[in-house]
Amino acid sequence: MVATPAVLHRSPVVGSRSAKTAARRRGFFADVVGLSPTLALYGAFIVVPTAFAVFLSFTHWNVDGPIRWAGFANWREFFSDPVSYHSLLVTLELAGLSWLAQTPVAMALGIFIAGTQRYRAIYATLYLLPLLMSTAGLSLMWEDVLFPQYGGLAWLGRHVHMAFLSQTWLGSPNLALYTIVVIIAWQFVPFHTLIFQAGRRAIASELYDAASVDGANVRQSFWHVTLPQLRYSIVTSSTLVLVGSLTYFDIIYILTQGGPGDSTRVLAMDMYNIGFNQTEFGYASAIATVLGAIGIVLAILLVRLSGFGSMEGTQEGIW
Amino acid sequence: MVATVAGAPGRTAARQKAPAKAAARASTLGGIRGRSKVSRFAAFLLGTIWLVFVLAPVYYMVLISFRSPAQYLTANAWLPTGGLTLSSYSAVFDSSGIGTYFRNSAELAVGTILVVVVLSLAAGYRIVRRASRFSAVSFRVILFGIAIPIQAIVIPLYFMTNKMHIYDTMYGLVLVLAASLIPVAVLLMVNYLRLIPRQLYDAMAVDGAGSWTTFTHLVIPMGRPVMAVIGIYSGLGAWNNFLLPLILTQSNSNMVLPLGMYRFASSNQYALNVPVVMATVVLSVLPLLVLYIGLRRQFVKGIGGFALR
Amino acid sequence: MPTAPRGEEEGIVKVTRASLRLPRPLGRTAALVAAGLSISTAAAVTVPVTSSSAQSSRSSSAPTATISVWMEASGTPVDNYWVAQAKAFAKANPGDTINVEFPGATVYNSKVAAALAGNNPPALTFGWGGGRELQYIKAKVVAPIGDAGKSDAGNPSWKKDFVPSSLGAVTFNNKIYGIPVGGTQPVFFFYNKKTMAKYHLSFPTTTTQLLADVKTLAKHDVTTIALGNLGGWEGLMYLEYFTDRIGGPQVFLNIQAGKKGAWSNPAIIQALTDIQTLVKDKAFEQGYNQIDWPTGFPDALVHSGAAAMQLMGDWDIGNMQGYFPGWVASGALGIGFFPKVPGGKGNPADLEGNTTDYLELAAHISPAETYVAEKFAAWLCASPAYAKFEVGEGLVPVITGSSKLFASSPLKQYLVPIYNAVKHAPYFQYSWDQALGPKESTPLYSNLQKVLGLTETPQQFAKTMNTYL
Repeated sequence: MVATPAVLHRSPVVGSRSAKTAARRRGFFADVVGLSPTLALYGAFIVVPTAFAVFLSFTHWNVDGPIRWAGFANWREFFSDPVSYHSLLVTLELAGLSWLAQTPVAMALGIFIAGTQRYRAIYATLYLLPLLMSTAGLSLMWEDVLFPQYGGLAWLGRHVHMAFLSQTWLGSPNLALYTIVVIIAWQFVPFHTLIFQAGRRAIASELYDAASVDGANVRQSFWHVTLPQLRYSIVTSSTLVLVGSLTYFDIIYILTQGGPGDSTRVLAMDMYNIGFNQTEFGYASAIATVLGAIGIVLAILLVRLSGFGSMEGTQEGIW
Repeated sequence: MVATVAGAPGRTAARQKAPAKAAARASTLGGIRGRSKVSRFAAFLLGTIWLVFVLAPVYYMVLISFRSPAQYLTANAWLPTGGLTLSSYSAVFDSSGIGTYFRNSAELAVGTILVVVVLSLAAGYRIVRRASRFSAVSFRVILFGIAIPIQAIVIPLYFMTNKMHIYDTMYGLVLVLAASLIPVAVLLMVNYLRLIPRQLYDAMAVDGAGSWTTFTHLVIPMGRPVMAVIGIYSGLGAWNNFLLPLILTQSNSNMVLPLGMYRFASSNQYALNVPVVMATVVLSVLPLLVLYIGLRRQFVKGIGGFALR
Repeated sequence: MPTAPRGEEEGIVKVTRASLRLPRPLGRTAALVAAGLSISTAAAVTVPVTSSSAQSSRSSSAPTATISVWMEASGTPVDNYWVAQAKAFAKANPGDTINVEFPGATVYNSKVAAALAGNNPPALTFGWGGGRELQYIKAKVVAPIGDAGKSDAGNPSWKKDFVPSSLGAVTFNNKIYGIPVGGTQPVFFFYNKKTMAKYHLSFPTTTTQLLADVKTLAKHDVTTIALGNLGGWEGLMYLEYFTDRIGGPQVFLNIQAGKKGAWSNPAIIQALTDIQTLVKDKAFEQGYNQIDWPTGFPDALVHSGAAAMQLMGDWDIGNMQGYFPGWVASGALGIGFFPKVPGGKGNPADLEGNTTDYLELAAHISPAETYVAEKFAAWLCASPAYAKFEVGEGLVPVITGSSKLFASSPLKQYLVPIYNAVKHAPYFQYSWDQALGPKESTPLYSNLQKVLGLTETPQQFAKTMNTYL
């Protein structure tokens, strides 16, 4: 079958009413065929489990026995238990700190690599390195860098007179959470940098020209041109940082298991522990439902604020 | 012949994008024109500090992977003095486990890529056609999945896979992983396929092509770039995933690389042998590094989708 | 006895009893039984009469099956031994296949709990009896274990092959729910004799002396005690011993019994204060709360002389033997009881630790699988060959008559005193994390980590823990 470029200029065929109906029916049939496998997979492994998790949050289930209806018991426990309260607090703290650590840095770096200098392109290539590493891999790497006796930082602390580097980064209740925040930033700032790079490149030069005609200096043009123009990038990136860190699990599981004490025990860790270690799956599902709800609320905010994800939305950061 | 069809809109798409790129270049130049040397130096400094922060731990890891256990304890931690050795790497290759882990991860990645690319392509095509309300509703439902963190549903997934007899199987893991990646993949697919001009579909219809022919002769050739991106996105997601294999598999024969590395490091086999752990991590990154060098553009976009999750 | 094939990782293989680092919680009732290593229950059981005809008909056509056995990875030689034995068993019993699997260290308990409830559970799982198993029993996911083809779980023929006290933690309702698959595991101080001698120190018999040694060793830049407390269970050993030495066994028995305010006992407060004194005096190496014991790092510190001693279960003998073969066999390690606390009520010969590990039988499996599982379990565990293997690995078996095997062991200088210490211990306290359920041991770990991190006072600890009673 050959279609020459000439067909591009033909006008669409206008058919009769019955032909249109037939076409629509064929279209519906094709839709069903094309979408069913995706919907089946998505329904079976995302939708059903989500409903199941919400259902379980209203039950007592110790794995080994039958599922027993519990009403709001798990929810009452969640909202009265100081342990889950603390986990919620740590989770919010992690999200807030992650935002502080990631968004400004990613914005600065994104603007930086939006520049056209050759060295910046090379930097940009190297910046993406963390995204190639699996979470397990980079956690093991950092574990060794931070190892209190033979780790890379401890070595510097001992041999290069930088004693402040010789800390128990992950073993001190006061430091562990901050250390985790830095490692998460190491992993994810590169991605957010890409968002800001695309956002910065999309700003029309005329805006800067106009600003400089008005006598704006570098700082003023940043505040009055760059920052407002980047608002969609900021919203997108911030929401992703927040959703990501609220549900963060892997690095914490590998590096601290929620400790020392409960200083890094986030909700996701709590859920894993209560579910898979204490085998109280009803209560763990209540925590899981909270996690899911947080994710959904933030995602809806994201869509509302940025138009991201809608058919007509901006696609910066992806394309 | 098909290439003609594919080529023409391809150029059209490129043409659409070209002005944006030119504008971007111009704007960057415009922005920089007004900047002082001081601020450019400050930018250089900040960029370099971050570069050091990114590279230092990786460099450290690579260096340690070339040490023997004894050297690890005594030699300079940051300079390659005091002798290097390949013994850790030969130890990794000699161990039976690592080969299995690599193979499992590769299988998982390939399987996931196939499922996600094929399904999202078919779904994306139907969604952009807007032939019926069914596709529009489906799209909304699928998009909703982006918001559901996988951590929130691992408990039901654990029991469901058990009941479905796909617990601790590679294909069970492929299905769950693919399902978790599908929402973002469909979004990427739809956003891209929307760039195919409507006239091309109409032209196909005039030539009497049905949905299937249009799919094979227009959508698949046109969609190649986004298929590559989604492939990388889902491949990365599968290769690096930790939580799902942790919960949905257990036997050694089904262990994937991230889990295997973690187990090496946290249990007995490689205890006290940090260089071997580091060598394993280095090896786990190599396949992706090669891909990254070869397919940088698609890779960056794939990462974009990947990190959305 | 087939020799265990060495792992392909020869040369980099290190042995740890990683299996033993996990919490092995025990429910209250079970713990009360286990705490005194009660053997009374078994004695009260009447032996079920099995029809001999039924038995012979079974043996004439013994059921065959393929079963899975889940083990906690316990160091390469032990793991390989199990795998080799499974193969040997399958060879000797045509039609049977035994798949030994190691579902992974940190996720082991979660996986077992869920798998036992699933539709295809492993026939045998490695466990620690106690509270966790009691929970499984209540949920009817594990079954009593007896002789293959007989319903004699209260009094299987292999019962006589084990030291009676070793079955206490798996005896519930007069039935035995596990067969011992490990050695006995009391906790001692293991110290580097050379390091102690170098600074003219003898092993401290009182905590006062211990604190004095800390000061002496610190002057020479030597850490007194190596500790890896990432898991939380390692630090718990200190609380267990301090509490016993200060207040005697009753303090914990009150906690176990759930007596109101039991954690506020002055002995607990004193014990926690003493632990914090050790921390403040820098008795432990830097970063103890982030070091994972199974990485072998604390062992390496003791070996290198950077640390003088560590408090650990006796499995560490075999463990260190794996890391530093010649060194351990040469007698470089000294064994010391936890020191006496001046004015304390506890007997310094009291021990703390685990009785042993077990293979536990799943309930939701077919009769044929049960038959093969019971047959394999007894064949593997209740054999003199296994005792010999354990002794070779530096373990103290709970198989009767094992003590005479020590003579030929290169590690006999350790095994004999440990065996005697267990035999003569006035009191053997079952590990607290096993004695309490997972629901209590989790906050116990995390709060103790805080105490060790000096971010929680003993009073705050007691207050928090009291809410879990």
